[in-house]
Amino acid sequence: MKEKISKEIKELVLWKIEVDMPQNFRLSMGDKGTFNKEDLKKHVEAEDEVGRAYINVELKFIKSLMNGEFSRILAG
Amino acid sequence: MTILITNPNYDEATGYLFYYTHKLVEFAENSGLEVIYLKKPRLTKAEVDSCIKKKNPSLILFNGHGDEEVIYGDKIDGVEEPIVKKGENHEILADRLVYARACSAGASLERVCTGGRGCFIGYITPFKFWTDRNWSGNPAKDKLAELFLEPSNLLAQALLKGNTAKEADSRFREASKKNILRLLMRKEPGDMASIMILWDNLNGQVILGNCELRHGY
Repeated sequence: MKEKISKEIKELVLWKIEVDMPQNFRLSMGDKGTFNKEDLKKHVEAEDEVGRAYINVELKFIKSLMNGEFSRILAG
Repeated sequence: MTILITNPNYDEATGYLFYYTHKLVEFAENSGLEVIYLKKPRLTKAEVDSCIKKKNPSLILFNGHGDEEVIYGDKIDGVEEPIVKKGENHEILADRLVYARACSAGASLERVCTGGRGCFIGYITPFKFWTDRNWSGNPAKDKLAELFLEPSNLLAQALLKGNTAKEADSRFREASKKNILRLLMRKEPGDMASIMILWDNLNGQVILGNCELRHGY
């Protein structure tokens, strides 16, 4: 069974898409397709396969920033 | 020395890969290597099987889509053609040096290569890249996509030059980290989104098996 994504996480990811992603950006995610800003927001809202994959990317990145892994690897 | 390169082109993602892979073909040919270059209409499972068995390439560069159990070629009659599939013809990769610039193929197929003396470089997550809508359909001018695709080309070039798999893997990692640092200092709109995807690809790339393997040896 798919784990429910919390409202707070979803809002965080939607906010990050809004502030981090310019209108001309399109994300190629392999055979899942290529997505613009509005597409990504819809997929995150729907919590479908693409939305969950994107949420996972965002959360892994935030986690790596918070636990120091990001700066440790860059400095290495 | 013979190498095999696959190069599908049937959607936006493979369109970008097609451009970057073609640069690798030119690089290999200019380096004096014998290149088996498989693109449509020759990019079929039968042709891949046959070329690997007959020509015994010392390096295989797969490009295109994939998943945990399949590496795809081009579309045949509108359907993606699996050119390597676990349980069907995966044994053709045994003991070989393979770089699969194909989503998620590292999650399962790597065991085939790495069970013996082979080495597999691939991805356990989808290989991702941003493109710039203003240059859609023109990969040569898309500087945004270059941030993600050029490091993977450097990896492939290192393999073509005869560097070890481990050295080639390092080329990708160093180039990706260099791009991240450059973006961190630049701070233009979208840079944080680019850094996040560079980071995701860095973490998604795996090198499995004999890391000291190099082609031609």
